Amino acid sequence: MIIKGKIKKGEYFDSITLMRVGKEISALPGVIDAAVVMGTKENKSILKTSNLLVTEFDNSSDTDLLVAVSADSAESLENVFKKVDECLLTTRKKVEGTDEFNPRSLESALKVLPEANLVIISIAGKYAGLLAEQALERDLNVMLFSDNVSLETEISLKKHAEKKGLLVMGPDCGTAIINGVPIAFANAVNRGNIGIIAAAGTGLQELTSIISNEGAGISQAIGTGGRDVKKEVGGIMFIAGLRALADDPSTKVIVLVSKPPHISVIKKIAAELKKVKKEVIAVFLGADESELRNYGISFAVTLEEAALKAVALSKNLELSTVDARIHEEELSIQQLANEITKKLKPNQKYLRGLFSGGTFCAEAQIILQDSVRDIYSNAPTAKSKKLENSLVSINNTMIDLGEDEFTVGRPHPMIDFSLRNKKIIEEANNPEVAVILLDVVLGYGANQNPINELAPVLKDAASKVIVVCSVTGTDLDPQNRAVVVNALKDAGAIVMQSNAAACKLVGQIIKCN
Amino acid sequence: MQIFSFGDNIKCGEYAIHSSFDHVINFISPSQRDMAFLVDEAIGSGPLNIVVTHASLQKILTLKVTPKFIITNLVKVPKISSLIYNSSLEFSDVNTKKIENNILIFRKILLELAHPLSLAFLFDRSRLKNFKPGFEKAFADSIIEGCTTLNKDIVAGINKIKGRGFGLTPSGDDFIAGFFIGLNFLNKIHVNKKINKINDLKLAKVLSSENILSNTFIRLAEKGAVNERTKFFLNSLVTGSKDEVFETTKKMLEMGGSSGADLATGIFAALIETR
Repeated sequence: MIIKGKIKKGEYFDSITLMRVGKEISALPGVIDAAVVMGTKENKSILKTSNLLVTEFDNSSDTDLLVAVSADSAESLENVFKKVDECLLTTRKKVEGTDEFNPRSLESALKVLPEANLVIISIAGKYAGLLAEQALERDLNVMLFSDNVSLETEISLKKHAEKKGLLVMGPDCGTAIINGVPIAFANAVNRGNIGIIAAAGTGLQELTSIISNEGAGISQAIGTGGRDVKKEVGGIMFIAGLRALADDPSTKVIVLVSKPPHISVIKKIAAELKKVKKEVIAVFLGADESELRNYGISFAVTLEEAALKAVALSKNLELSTVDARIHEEELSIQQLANEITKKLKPNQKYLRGLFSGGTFCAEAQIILQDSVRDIYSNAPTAKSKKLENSLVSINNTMIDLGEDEFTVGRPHPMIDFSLRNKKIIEEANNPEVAVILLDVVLGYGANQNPINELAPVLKDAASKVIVVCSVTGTDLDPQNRAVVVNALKDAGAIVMQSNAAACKLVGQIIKCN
Repeated sequence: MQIFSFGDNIKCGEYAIHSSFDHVINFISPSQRDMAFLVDEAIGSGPLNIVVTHASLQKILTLKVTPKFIITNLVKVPKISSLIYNSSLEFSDVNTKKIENNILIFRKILLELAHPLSLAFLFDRSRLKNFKPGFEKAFADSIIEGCTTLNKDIVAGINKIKGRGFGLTPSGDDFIAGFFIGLNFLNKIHVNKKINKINDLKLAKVLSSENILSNTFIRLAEKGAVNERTKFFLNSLVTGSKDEVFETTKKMLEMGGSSGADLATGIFAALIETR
């Protein structure tokens, strides 16, 4: 073994660079060990322990950079120090060559882009409200991706925005499409004449995707954040968005989507709709239908139905065509369920829904509330009961993996599949589970490699249980919906055209069994 | 060039460039005792930081600080009092239970997100698999030994940790700075009124190296002067939601190369060492 060392005076590099260089050198043929560290007394003692200390280092100081290498032969050492110099020089060039200015405040960002009229804010909720206020003061519209913004702050921001004729999308608004530009978690969709206002992020994604896949397109898709339609906020941005779309010449049909608004907000929406001369379809998941009828609101029961009706209206087709189509599809679903359930064993009886989108989890519970008994959920709605321990499924269970208990310290399940994959394997290995239901959401911001990460897991699960999924997205998305659908089918999953269709299928499977 | 903020510990005088990185230029006084850091907004405010905007840092070659101005080769800028960054720690609404819960979240995030070769292995020994046999393993072993001593004798333990590791500020020095910050934090929130260890330290024994950068950070930490990211992080431990703890911890871990992770590990060591 041969050991050689070199001192580099007056050269300073961060720890990651030095670790990286050390690893690169260590990987060279014939190199046994290497270290690139500052010449402190203590580091020299470690070098001594690891047989890397050379006498040349005796005269080094704390501020010198020491490069120490041990190799199996002199030949192996020959080019090592040259390689070290190259690696460090590359880093140095990168430092000196950079002229890029990355603004880190609203003020400096506006200096770079003075014509901007929309600010997207994604910082800790405690500070986001203040920044949003500053943006409104500068007559800028706001998209508040941040959550944990207080209700009081939200109301104050929205009232301020309303006075100024500006939009505040959020808090906790993760999706929008403005003038054809997808923002945050959004899909690549056709441009067209259907406008959407949504207090439900994945609801917006499902609608825009289905509309685009049906050959129609989106004018604007405005997110408002989930609390906007609650009593306290009073639907301020929902109404503002509705007015904006009513005045927008490129919008012919308007779709409203949220969980059930408070009755006071429904009344406001109904009053506003009287002034709107365009076709409007509302999908307020789980709302009392008779109440909506009383207020003269045209509604759909599922996101899919709302999307199909909006498409029909945009193409001047009768809505009855949509009803007929949905009826046909339900018959096909029933037939498919009869076939599939033959594969199940007698003790396989339960449904486990594992969702990355909260709206899909809610829609599933609403659709299945009368056909599947004893549904438990960590985010219960309709007739579902509260699941006390989110990690332990009971009977028929629907989990929203985007809820807080799953997302502290880890990316959202639309980005990071690892936690859901673990759950899929766990549920598939349970002999009482008959079917696993899941949503796969594509688009910007979502996991860019869903096939690689999901298909192997689904292949294994599908050998034990029935796996039913929907894929939200379009062929224009970075992941390409058609490619993803084919891959999941090849893996043994049953892929339905929408979350609603997937839910109806699993409802029939559980019923048949 | 505009000044966004300047730290409350910057001494007046002329400075020359010590070292230069993507987002920071380190300046040093002729006496070699004082430093000032010219940084961009990516780094943020700190006790010795001058945060500049709308300027290319690499073009700044000289620095002079007077009572009323900050002068670089590019421009002379007045020191407006509203731009002074307050580096001291003050907390209100101290709820011990909340802090303990937030420390658990901090630990989880630290161990998930810290750089593989940072000192976080002290609290998750499975991370030792990232250390190659040879220098890296010997380094890790020496740190473990230092921490074991730390529990019994702080000064002796610090002397076994300092100066060790990678980077311009060795990992061990960043850990010590974090440890001091942690002790100051505990003093401020009065979790354990007996935590006066920081006042007992003979700092001169610790700062015997020639590494001016490390010495500077350790001195600041010892007196409880912290940068903005660390301040946000400590504030979130006291009053923040779990999301806020996550975000501020993440930001702190992004500091420097592995410095942020080593600093965070030092803070955590102080928090649990003195419970």
